[in-house]
Amino acid sequence: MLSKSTINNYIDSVPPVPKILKDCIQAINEADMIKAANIADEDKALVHYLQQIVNKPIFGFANEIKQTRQIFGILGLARVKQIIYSYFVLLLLPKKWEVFSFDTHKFQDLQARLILHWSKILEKIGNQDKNLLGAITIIPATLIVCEMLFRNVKDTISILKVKKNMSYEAILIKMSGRTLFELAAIIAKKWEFPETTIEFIADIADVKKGDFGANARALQFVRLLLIYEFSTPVMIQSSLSDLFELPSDFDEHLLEEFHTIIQEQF
Amino acid sequence: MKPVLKQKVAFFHPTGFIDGNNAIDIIAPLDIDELVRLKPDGIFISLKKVIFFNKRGICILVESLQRVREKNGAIIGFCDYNLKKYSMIIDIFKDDLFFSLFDTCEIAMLFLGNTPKDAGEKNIIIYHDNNEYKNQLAIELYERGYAPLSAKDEIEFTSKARMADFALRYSYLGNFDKNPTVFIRENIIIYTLKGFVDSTMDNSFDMLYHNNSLQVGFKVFLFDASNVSSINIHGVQFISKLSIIGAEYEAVVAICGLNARKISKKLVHDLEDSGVVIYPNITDIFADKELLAQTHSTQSVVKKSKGITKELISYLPVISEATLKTIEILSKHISVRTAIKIQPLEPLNSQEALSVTLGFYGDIKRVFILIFEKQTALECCKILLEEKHNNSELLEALSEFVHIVGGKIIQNISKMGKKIEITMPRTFENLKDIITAQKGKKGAQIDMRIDNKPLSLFLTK
Repeated sequence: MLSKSTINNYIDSVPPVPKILKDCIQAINEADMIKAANIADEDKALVHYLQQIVNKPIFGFANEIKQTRQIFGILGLARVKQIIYSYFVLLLLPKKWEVFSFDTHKFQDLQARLILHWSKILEKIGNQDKNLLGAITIIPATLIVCEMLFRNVKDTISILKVKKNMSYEAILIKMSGRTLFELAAIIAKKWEFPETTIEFIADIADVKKGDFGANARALQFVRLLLIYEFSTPVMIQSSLSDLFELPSDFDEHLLEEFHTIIQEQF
Repeated sequence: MKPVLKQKVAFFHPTGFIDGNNAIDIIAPLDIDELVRLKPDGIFISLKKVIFFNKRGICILVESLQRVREKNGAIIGFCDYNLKKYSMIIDIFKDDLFFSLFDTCEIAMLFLGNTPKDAGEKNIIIYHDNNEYKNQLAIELYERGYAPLSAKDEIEFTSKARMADFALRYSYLGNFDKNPTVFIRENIIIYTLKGFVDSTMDNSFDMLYHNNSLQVGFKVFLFDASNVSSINIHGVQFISKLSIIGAEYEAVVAICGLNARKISKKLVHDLEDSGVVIYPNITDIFADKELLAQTHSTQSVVKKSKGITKELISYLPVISEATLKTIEILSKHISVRTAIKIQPLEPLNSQEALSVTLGFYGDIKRVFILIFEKQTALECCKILLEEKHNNSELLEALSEFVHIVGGKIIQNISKMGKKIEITMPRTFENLKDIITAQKGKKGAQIDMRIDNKPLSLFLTK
C-alpha cells in the first residue's frame, strides 16, 4: 500500500528546474524572443526536444524546422513556453515503464497533442489567460507520477484492476486520499509555475467546489480534452484509458462545441 | 481492455469517447479469445463512464460481442446508461435489438448472478412502455426468487422508484436465450433450460463448471425446465449422465417444470431410473426442507477414497507463500506461521469466523480452504468494499479476495511447469458447515496469525 512518506519521498525526489530553463522562461516573460532563443540554444537537449515536438505530424509543417529562432518565431512565445514546460516534465520521465506499457515516443506524442488542442480550445472559447495555457503541460506528469508511485504496489494494482472497476486515480485516492491533480499541482508549485496555473490544475479533479469563477468553462473543456485524449487507441492499448477519475456528465452543447474545435485543422 | 468478472458475468468499462477508431481496441481480438475460453453466461458493456459514442463505434462493439456469442451462446448487451444513451441505442438498432439492456450493472446481476438469501425482500420496481417487455422482465426475476413489483404506469413507477433497491425503467431482456444459464440460490445450483433440450446440450453445457461445483461441495443441482418447449432422448440422457456422475459425490440432480407436452412418460421414467428427482415447479424444491438440509449436511466434498499424498505436500510452500503474500499486501499486516500439521480440519476457536473453499483443477487437483476471523476478513477486503456494506457484501468481497489469491497461486504453480485453473470460490458464513463438509478428511493445515488474530489454511485432495 502507499504510505504518506512514499508520496512525500517521491515529491522530494522531483528535481528543481535547471537555471538555464528558468532564464529562458524569464526572457519569454519579458517578451524578448531573441534572448530566449539564444538561451535555449545553450541547452542542446532542449533544442533537440523543441525540434522533435514542432516537427511532429500533428503540427502539420511541410518542411523540417531546425533553427531555434525559427521555431520560436513560428510557434510564438506563448506556445514555446508551453513546450519548455513540457520539457521540464521530461525530467521526470522513467527510463523504463513498468506499470503501463508506454514509452517516451508515445509520451511525447501525447504532450504534443495536448498542447496543440488546448491552445486551439483556449483561443476558440476566448480565454486570454496565458497562465492557463501552461497548465496543460504539467498534466502528462500525472501519468509519470502514477507510474512511479504504483511501481512498488504493482501486484496490488493489478489485483484491483482485475476485480474492481477502479480508475488508477480512484485507487490512488483510496490508498492515499489524494488525487493525481493535487500531486501535479504540488510539482507545479515546486517548479514555480504561476499561482493561477497551480490552482487551475488542482481544480481539474475537484468536483465538490461549486463555483470555479471565470475558469469554469475552461475547466469543463480541459476535462473533456483529457477524457478525449485518453480514449485514443494508443491509450486503450496501454491500459491508460482509465487513468483519471473525472466526471462524465457534460452538457450536449459543450460536447458539440468541443467536437467542432478538435476537428478543426491547426 | 480486460473485462471485470463478477461471478459468471464479464463487464467491460470503457471510458470517454467510443468511435470507429478506438472501438476495436475496447474488445480486442485477444479479449474475444479469452471470453470464448471463459464461457461466461453474460458479457456486458457498461456505458457509465462513456460520454460520447457514435453508430460506428457501438456497432463494432456489438459485432465483437456477437463473435463471442456465436461461439458459446453468451448473453450480451449494455448496461449503466441514461435515457439519452438508451434512446441512441434504440435508434441505432431499431427493430433489430437482439441483445439485452439493463439500467445498471447491479440490475444485470439480478438476471445473471446468484440469487441472494434475502432475494424476496429486495424492493424491485419495473416499468416499460411496452407491456410485454415489462412482463418478460418481471417473470424472469420472479423465477429467480425475487418478488418484483410491476408498475402500471410511469407515475406509479416514479413515485415508488425512489424507495426501491432496484428500479428498472429502460431495461430490455432481448435474446435472453442461453441454454442453460446457471445461478446459485440457497446453495442449490440452478440450470435454467430454454427452448429445445436435445443433443446441443453437449456443446453448450459448461461441464467444467459442473465438475468443479461438485468438487467444492455443492450437493443439489436443479434443472429448471419451466421455459422448455420439449426434451428429447438426448436431453434426457445428458441429465441422467449428470445424475450418475453426481451420485459419486452424494449429490442430487433434480428437475422441475415438466409436463406431458414437453416430455413423454417413458422419458420421465428414464430420468427417475437414473436417480433424477422430479418436482412440479421451482417453489416446490425450495419448500422441501429435507432436500435443503442436504445442501448443508454433507459427508465429504470429494470422493472418499482420496487422501493426502507426498505430492500434495510438495505444493504447500508455493500455495501458502502466494496466499500469505496477498493477505499481507491487502491487510497491511505481517503474518506469522504458528503451526503446520497433517490432520483433519481443525478450525479456529472463534465465534465469528468466515471461510472460503476454492477448487483447483488441471495438472493438480486440490481443494483449498481459508478460514478467517471476521475482523481479518474485513481488513483483507477493505479495498474491495465500499465504506458502508452488509454481511453478504463482505462475503462477496471475501470470495473476490480468495479468487485473487487463487490467481496468484496459478501464477506461482505455472512457474513450476504445471498448468492449473480455479473454480469460483464458495463462502461459508457458518463454521459448522465447513467442518461438516470436511469431516473425516485429512489435509495439510497451516495455522498463522495476522495482526495477532488466527487464520487457517487447509489444503486437501
